[in-house]
Amino acid sequence: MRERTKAFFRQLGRGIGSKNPVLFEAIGMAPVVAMAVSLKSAIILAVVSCAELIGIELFACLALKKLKSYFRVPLYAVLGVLINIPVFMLFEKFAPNETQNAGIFLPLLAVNSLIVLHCERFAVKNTLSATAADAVSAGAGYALVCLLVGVLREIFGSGTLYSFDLGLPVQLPGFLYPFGGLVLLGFLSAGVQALVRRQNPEAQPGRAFDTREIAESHVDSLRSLLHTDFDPYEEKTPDDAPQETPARRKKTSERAKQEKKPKRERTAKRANRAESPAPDTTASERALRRAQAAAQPDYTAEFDEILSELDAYRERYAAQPQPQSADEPDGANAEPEADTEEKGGDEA
Amino acid sequence: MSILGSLLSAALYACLFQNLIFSGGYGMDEAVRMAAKPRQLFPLTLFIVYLSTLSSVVCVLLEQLAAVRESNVFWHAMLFVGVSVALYLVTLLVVRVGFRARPRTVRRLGVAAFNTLVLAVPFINYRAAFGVFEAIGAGIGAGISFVIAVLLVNFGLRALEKNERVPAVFRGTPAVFMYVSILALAFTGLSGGGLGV
Repeated sequence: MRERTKAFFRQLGRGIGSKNPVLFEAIGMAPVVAMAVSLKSAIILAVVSCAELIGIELFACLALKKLKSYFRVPLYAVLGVLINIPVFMLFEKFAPNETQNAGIFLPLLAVNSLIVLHCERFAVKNTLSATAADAVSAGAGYALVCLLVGVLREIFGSGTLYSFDLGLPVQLPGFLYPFGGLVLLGFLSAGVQALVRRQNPEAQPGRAFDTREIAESHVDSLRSLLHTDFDPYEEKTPDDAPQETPARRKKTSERAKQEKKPKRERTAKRANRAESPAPDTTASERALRRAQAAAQPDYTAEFDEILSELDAYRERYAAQPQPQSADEPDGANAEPEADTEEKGGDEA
Repeated sequence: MSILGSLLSAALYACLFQNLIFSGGYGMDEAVRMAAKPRQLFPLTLFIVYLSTLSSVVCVLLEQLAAVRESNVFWHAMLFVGVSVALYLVTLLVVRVGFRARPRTVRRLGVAAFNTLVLAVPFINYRAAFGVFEAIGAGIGAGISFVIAVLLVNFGLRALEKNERVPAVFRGTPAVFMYVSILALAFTGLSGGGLGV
């Protein structure tokens, strides 16, 4: 029991610190940036988000595991709205001004990406107790960030705290805009990262924002559509250009060109290709391939010789006058020709 | 001419002068995460333009009903989510059965249908009392603003990945926040709001 409690608190600590959904994964930052401009609105945001996250994640774990993911996603939105309505009515009674100030962002919390991602990544794959721990830890981390950002923005932007005037000499209303929220999130994230790294120098919580696929091109499809070498990010280096552009059109045109080339050129090219290493292989692989190529007998030169002999023989044969047999009548060739035509027609 | 004017003005309003993502914060999560995985940008953008335009038109048409017009913001939220769910299911059927789309593309459809940007467009129409053509303009503008946001953030993230002068504690997500905040500041300038400094 003690171990379970310890594990829960450890997970709670991770949810608030190194695995904070907003600070390190950039999940659910839109409501924080747009809505958390004062402590009161931050409290509303934190309560609604936590209620939705815990409620929907538990429901997903209990009832939605067998459903396909593309049917689960709309259900999260519907459940979000259903949870939103009573909470909204409650807040409208106790804090009507703040609820009105929250504007359209309060109903939009129903489609908060925090809920969908946590349900899809965790709730539908784990047990109820693990899901509850995940929901509570992520919710606590999210709520804490909301409150911190709300407090700081209210102090810097309006010079108040919970609507009490602090009498500050300078106010910076820029903090009430989304960019002010983003700047605060950046500094908070860096601060928490520094704290985490002080405890564990090898930890890199900022890497939780997955940028492994960032170099993948979104212009490949455009390139193939427009048949151009459009390269806005200068992704293609001269070495890897042929691998980077697998446009079907280019391939077919190359194939057509190859078909037009004489046989000898093709064999020579093939031999060159066998000798030259692929550009994406490592140095050791290239050396191994070269050694294998050296060990194999080189038939290409022999093959070229045979081909040139054949060409010479064909030219000689074509230059000689062909004797016509007197036995065969003129119309004798007509039948077989017709046969071959028919055959050709059938084959076609 | 007036139809085209209202359509264009709503689209420009949504994507430039009041950029829904940078000035409003709607759909910022999806834009930032899509910028980190840009491969499916064009299918997602198509879905977002299609869903935001269609849902905003359907919701504006439903606003003509007296019962809908008189209901409060949360009943509107229910209605807008209901419309989004219906459109999502129809599109899912077409994409999955008709086009035999890959699972990754189908997942993108879910992301496109249920995010704060697509759901915000009907709300903005409702608040601003937009007509049908303005609703179409707002929907298209939302899609364009999404593409602008993703491309701008993607350019920046690529540069940040290569930049070794970023301090160690700012590497990763903190640098992303700072970069997006600078973009948001630029778009706030376009919207004409003073900073009061």
